Amino acid sequence: MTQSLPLVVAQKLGKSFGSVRAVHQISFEVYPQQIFSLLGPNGAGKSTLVRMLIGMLPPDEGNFVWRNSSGEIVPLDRARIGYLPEDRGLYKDQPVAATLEYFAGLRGLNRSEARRVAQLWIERLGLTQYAKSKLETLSKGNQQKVQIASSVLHRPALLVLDEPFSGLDPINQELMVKLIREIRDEGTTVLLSAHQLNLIERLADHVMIIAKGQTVLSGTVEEICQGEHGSKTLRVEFEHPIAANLLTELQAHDDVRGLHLEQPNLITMQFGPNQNQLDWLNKLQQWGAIRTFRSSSTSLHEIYLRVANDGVPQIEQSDS
Amino acid sequence: MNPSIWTVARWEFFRFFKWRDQLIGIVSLLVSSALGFGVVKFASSSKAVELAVVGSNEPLKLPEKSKIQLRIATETLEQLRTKLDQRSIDGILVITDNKTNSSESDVELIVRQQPRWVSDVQIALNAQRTNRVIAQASITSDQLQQFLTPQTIKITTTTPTSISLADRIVAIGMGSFMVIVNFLGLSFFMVGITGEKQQRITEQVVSAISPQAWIDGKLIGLTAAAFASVATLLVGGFLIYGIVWLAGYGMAMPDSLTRWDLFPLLALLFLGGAIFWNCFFAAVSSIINDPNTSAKSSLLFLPMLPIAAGFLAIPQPDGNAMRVLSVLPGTSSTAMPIRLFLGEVAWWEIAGSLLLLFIGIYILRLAAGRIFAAGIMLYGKEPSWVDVIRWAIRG
Repeated sequence: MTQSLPLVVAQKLGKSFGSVRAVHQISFEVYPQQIFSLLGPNGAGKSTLVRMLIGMLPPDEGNFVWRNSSGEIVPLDRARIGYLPEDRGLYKDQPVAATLEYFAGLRGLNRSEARRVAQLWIERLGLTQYAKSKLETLSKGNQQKVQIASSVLHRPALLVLDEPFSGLDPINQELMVKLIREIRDEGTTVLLSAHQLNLIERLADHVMIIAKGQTVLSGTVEEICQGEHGSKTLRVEFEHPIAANLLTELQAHDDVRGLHLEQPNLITMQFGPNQNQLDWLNKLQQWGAIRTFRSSSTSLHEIYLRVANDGVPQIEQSDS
Repeated sequence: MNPSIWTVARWEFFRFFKWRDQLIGIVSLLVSSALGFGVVKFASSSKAVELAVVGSNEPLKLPEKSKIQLRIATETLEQLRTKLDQRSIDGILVITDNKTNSSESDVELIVRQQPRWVSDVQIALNAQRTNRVIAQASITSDQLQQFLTPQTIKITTTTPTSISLADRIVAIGMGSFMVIVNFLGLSFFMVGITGEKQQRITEQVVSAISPQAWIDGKLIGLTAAAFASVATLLVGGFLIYGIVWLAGYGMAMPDSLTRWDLFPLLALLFLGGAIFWNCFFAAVSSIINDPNTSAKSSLLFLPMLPIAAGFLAIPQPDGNAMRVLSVLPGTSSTAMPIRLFLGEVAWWEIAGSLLLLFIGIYILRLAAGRIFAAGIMLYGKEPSWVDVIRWAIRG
């Protein structure tokens, strides 16, 4: 998936608006054909970071290093970037095909090429029958399709998607996931910011969580879920009430992070991410017959809530 | 030049200039003109007026295009009155010799209601009386004509000639042309830019091209759309003039309109003036969120003040006020054409006017680009005037 040289490197970026420090000392690398996800609560500095990345805002501190497909350092070229802003819209009184041709033209394609790629995307997104229709006559899902096509039809090296799933129903969200994967598979690097963490968990190759303008976590989904903020949970129901000395022993064990006796014969245990739940089941079986058990791992969603909310944990278990 | 400027220009032009709408406009203009012309023609081609003359066998000489048909009555006055009531005739002209003066007659016109054609009868009667007087005085009609014709005086002035009505109309036409172009520019920029802000289009466009390239493209495209719309109106006007002229009702073209040598200069002034004010419209539109509620919207009518001043100065095209207005950027596009047609302009005034206009465009374009770049990204709250001035100066 990743190559040796990153497409873009951000080095110690900083940006303030008056007395408000929006971004502080953020660094990251995005590799070719990677799906890089930027997560963070509202006001964390994501949009500022994205606007600096695509050249709409100059950073106060730090810089970006861009590389072309040959690995050479090159200046920022807007034609190599596609951008779907969070606050987005299109010319509602204009036809679909003409709108796409216009945006292709803005990204540097000549008229005939712009017409060709616009037609290509209209067919790809199943909008052929609406090609000459005004955008305002399309459903919201179809308008969203046109919107994303307008940002990607020039085949950018980097596609930046800010909240691409917002306003979409689950079916259209799945279509969007599929489309983003296809775009990545065709050679485009994707940087996206979204609040649908279940989708990000499935899509992203790399996740960076920022809060209050600073990076709090960065890595693959697996690395994050198995890192210091990750944990595993085992819920065990015994045939008979649990012996008091078992509880004492478990509480004293270094690998057990949390223990909760829900009922006389039902306990919930939390471990570090490297613990093997099967090993623990075998150990517990020695203390009594087990009627049922359920194991789970901490989701990205839980970790996000933990780190983005300034360390305040709000546990929600996901079954596995 | 950045090719994306032309992409924007083409897009903006066709966003606001629709051939179908323009053709509908021309057709509507032609149809309404044809209807108006038809009504006038119908009114003027109503049936002939039949007038019965009683008491005189002497022929009356009516004007050439008169609709009146005279006939010497053979019926009695009572019979004629009956025919008048029955609408068989339109009037009875009763001529009785004046007993005290042989050259005079007592004339009575009996009609159903006050007629519009009585002046034709008056002319014919006057001519008849004149002929009688000439016959009695033993002078020829040529001698009488010479006696009645006033002495002509050829007037030669050392200061510019007074302004004829035709030239005033031409001058007002020039000013109106710029007013229409400016109003169209104002509406295009207002609708275009505030619409883009409200529809949240700006961020995606600015991620692709620089704000200066965007505003430059808009300036070219929307100025062209405004001129093209006015040109379509002019084409419609000329078509109507041509049709009327072919129908034999044409008016003479004012001499000032045939001064083709002035047209390149006029084109430069009009184009420069439109771009100058469109820069202003772009900047103001970008700092307005909602034109219906923003107090800043009233600023967009500011360009109409100097244009109005230009109109007021038509009676004195070379007065001090017009001299100043004709060189100031923003007013020169209206004032200078009026002076070129109606007054006397030195070459250095023309050169100075063009130079100042293009310097003004350059400065205003840069300032507008800076205001536009900051203004289009602001949603929700409008910037203060301090912010706007700071953007204009420093970006």
